[in-house]
Amino acid sequence: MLPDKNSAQTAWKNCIPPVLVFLAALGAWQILMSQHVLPPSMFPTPRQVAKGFGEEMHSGRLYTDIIASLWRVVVGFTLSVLVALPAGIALGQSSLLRSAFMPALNFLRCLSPLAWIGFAILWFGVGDNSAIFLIFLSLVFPIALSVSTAVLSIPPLYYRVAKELGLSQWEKLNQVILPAIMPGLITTLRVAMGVGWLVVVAAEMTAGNSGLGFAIYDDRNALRQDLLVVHMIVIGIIGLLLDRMLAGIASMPSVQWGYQQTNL
Amino acid sequence: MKPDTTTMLRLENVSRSYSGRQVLQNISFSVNAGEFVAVVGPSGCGKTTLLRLLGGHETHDTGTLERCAHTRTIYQQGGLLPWKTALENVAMGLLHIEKSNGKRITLANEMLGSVGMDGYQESYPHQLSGGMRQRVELARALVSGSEILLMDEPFSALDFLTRLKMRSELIRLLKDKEQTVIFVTHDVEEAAQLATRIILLTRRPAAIACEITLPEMERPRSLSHPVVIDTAEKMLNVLGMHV
Ligand SMILES: Nc1ncnc2c1ncn2[C@@H]1O[C@H](COP(=O)(O)OP(=O)(O)OP(=O)(O)O)[C@@H](O)[C@H]1O
Ligand SMILES: [Mg+2]
Repeated sequence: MLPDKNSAQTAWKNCIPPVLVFLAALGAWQILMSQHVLPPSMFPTPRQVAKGFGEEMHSGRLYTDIIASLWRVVVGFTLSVLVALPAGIALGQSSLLRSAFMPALNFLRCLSPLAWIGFAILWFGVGDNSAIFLIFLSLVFPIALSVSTAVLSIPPLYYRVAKELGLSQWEKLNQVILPAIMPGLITTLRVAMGVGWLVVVAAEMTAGNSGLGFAIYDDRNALRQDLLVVHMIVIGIIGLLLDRMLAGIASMPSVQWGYQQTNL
Repeated sequence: MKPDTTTMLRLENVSRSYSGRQVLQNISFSVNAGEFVAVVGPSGCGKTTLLRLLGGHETHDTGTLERCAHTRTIYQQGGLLPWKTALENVAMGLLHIEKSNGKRITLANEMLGSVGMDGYQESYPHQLSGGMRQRVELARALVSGSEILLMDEPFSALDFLTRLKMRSELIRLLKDKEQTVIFVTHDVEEAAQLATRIILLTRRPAAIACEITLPEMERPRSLSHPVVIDTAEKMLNVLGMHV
């Protein structure tokens, strides 16, 4: 009983500071506008933004934009994990593969995904597939690198234990390698999802005809500052929610060891 | 050698170096079934290296090494898998030995009980104290019924009282079993309390300084027993630490 009440209390307490910060920012914004520190030609007022929000909700365009962007980022992210995870594990286990592929991987990792836009449009046209391709390219190399580093840093002790217990290659992968890199992998995936969300907006602005990035592009052309702010807020909130979802995996009991200061 | 004893481990002139630096030098000894051999030597002399060779995790450079049965190791740094619960860790010890998963869980549960870890089945290693982790690791090694146990300073991270307790529990758990134990320690009294035979190693590169066979008697021998006191003193003399 008591711990429950306490944890509810701390959860409540943890909510207060960010809410206060939010309200203060909103107040500051309103004051800056009403004191004409920010001229109305430069930035919309909170009221205008609220009105723009209602407009977007009413027309239903906001939903379709959100769905379009989410679909692209989720597919691009999933594809890159499906490729990068096995590739990273293979790289982490073989010094031959590392010496063969690491220079190319690092080269590709350093290329801004937006540099590929010309080819993306040429190969996939304007729309979903271009954006997915760009997200895939921007995520697959850093995830592969991060996974290979994580595999490399698994203590050899665990491989000895696996050998002694007679684990097969498959069991070793499932019961030793994957769980050993899991805590780090979760962090990698959170960072990757954040990058993917940045890239989808950029990709839609240049190679899209829908989605939140395209909406921003549209707002700019239509000189609708109020909608610009609406879409910026929505992009930020969804990015936050995506991160929270992935961070939720970190509360699984079998990865807790990776986040604890053990009493070693 | 009596004809009815089986040799479990045999080393002949085994040497091992790391990048030109010799760690083990011409080690020869053999271990019979049921023996409890303590390997004692100064820190950094190559005891862990020797166990890695015995367990087949590394190869020796020269000499011959014969191993006649499966080994299970209790690791100096702790070898439990941190992402598995105590019960899962112990059940892992039965993988490929016991086919049915349910049977593995039952046996693992019983084993956890007999090392005094009832009620901690679902705990993860990081939620246990050092002594509890050692008990779980001991359970994982024992549950398999492996004929050779390699133990690398299993109790050295524990406080004195827990260490004494674990010594008698280890002997109790090994009772009525034909298991052969190689027990590495730097604690001369521990060796004298537990072992049927002691192998003393020199400083690096480790060579065998001497072997001591202890009289057969109820173990663990009491710390104040004359055999323990005499043996410990003898070992300290050989190690060059006169008291
Ligand atoms: N993988 C390795 N590569 C290079 N040198 C090694 C390696 N393993 C051990 N050594 C060296 O071999 C020597 C013996 O190491 P080992 O761990 O066997 O000692 P130990 O007797 O177990 O010491 P302690 O009592 O401190 O556990 C040390 O000098 C160490 O530096
Ligand atoms: Mg050691």
